[in-house]
Amino acid sequence: MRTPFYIKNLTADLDTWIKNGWVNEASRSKIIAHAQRQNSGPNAGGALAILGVVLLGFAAISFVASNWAGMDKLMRMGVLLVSLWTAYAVTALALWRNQMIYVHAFGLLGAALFGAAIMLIAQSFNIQAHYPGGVLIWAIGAFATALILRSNPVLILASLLSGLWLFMSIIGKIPDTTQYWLFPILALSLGFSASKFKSSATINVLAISTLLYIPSLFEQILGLSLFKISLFFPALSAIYVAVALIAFRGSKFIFGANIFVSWMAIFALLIGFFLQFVFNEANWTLPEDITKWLAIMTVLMLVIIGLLIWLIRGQLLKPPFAVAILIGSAMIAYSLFLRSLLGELPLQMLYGAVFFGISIALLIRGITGHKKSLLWIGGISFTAQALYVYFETFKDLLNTSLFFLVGGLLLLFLSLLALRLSKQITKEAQS
Amino acid sequence: MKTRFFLILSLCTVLTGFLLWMVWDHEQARSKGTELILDMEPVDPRSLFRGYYVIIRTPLNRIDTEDVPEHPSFKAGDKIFVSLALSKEKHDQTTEQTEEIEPNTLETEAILQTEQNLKVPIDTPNSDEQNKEKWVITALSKQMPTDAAMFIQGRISRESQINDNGSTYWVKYNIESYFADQANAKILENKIRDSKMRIILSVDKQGKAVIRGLEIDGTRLIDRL
Repeated sequence: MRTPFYIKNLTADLDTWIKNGWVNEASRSKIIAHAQRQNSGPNAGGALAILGVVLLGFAAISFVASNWAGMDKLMRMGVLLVSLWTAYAVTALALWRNQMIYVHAFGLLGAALFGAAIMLIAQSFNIQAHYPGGVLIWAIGAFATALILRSNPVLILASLLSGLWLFMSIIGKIPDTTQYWLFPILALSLGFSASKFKSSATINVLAISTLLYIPSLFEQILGLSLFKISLFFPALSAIYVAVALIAFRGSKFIFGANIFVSWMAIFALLIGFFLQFVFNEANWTLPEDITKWLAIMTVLMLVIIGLLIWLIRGQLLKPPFAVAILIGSAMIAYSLFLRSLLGELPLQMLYGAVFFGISIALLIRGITGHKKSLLWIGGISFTAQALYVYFETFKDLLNTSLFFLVGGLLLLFLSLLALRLSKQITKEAQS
Repeated sequence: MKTRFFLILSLCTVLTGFLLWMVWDHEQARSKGTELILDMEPVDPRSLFRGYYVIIRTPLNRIDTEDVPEHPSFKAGDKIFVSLALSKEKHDQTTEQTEEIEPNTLETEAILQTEQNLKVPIDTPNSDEQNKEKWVITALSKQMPTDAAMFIQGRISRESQINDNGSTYWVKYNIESYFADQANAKILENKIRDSKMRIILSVDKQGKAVIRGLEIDGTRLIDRL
């Protein structure tokens, strides 16, 4: 059932609605009864079962670890297989009896034990020094378990493991290329399942994994150590913006697309924020292959423009917000080139103003579109930028004070404008 | 529900099959491959162990191309086939022991210190100058060589330094760590530092290597199932 806090609020709201004549008095009891029957999310029984299984798992691991050295390899193998079969057998029994809490809990334990078995066998028999393939098999095993059990917890584990496999394959000392074609297949499969199970957590994990996948793919395509090149980061920010816009296009009919939009936007902004620290680097100069990077940035900006026009035509984005995104993306993409043209301080001021503008646009969009994620992103980026300006840009307190005074007055003026606009719209709607 | 009941048990069977296959496949590679014994180089006495792993580094892990005639250029992630040939080298070390000791765990210190603990008595180490077989690199290639008596397959690591004047390739053969429990870890560390330990590999027809065991002070310690 819904939480008592929700029921209390609903009861108070119902009083107001009935008083205003929007809801019948007769409907009050039905509405409250319906709310009391609804699931508000994970219940205590399910949570306790999962936690209990987690502790059992730790108990088993600790016991085995304390006696591990004394066991021969075959005995270790036996312990692992018995544990695996016990977990899966209990899961099967719980499934037979329709005890779904225990299905999820022991299914999760079984999936975890499979991975533990792979790693411990690889270790005991010295099978491989570097074994991302083992993590991949683990992820696939967990995914299969999640599909059969229709279990969100196990699906989340599978998505975490796929992310771990991707990370190990990219960062590991032995470079691999399998992940470049296999990760999209795995991610799409997991994403499709997440949309069926309505698992936002899985989508979040996949979005974070994609953030790592994108730059490594470009590194593979261009054949360079891109992370060592500072010009790569503005290009990466533009790529994230483009992916966010594509995901935004699908947000009406694809579950979790908004989550992708949020993560891509966050990281695009993060890159934009940290680029400012490069402006201060006295020894930093543009690389020799500047023409190539200018061409890359321009192509990316054209892609972004195309996507923005597509969204405006589909009436998914208002032109002012699209313009804000375009200006912000262009500023981030070309900032390092502008540094040599404008000089450090003018660039910092211009960049800072644009960054503040993007943050405010996100805040407004979050308020008008009732999107909490944009509200948070806008608020945090605004605060971070304000702190940066305070500590970095102005070297004396008087100028800092003046900057904040102007900024504060500007925002108050904008809020008055917004208020008047809102009243005007309400009047027009009423008339 | 019935269908899912049988499906989950079937899945467990498949997973178990995979785990058993892991062991069987590795055991096949260990027992059927050609043996290759390599010296082990000390890595860094202070950080030799990460947890209970011995870091294995052999002369084949770092390849200076100045020592190798005509070879293709490699980049990080490329497969590399390292062709090897035997060369005799006079060495002031103990003779290789002919008796194999097969402990359940690597209780090397106990075995080597007191003969009464041994399952099989061994000869006293011979300190006279003896010939010791050593493998040298004869060629590097991107494809499997057809004319080499022995070759091993690896991958170029990210740490490689590739430049116009010559390259140093760091190559990984996926044998760079060896699990040792806490009791044996320190013993093995000292053996590597004193150059008394060599790694015994089993190399299959494709050049893939797995660890068969260790040779310590001339005594072979083969990992058993």
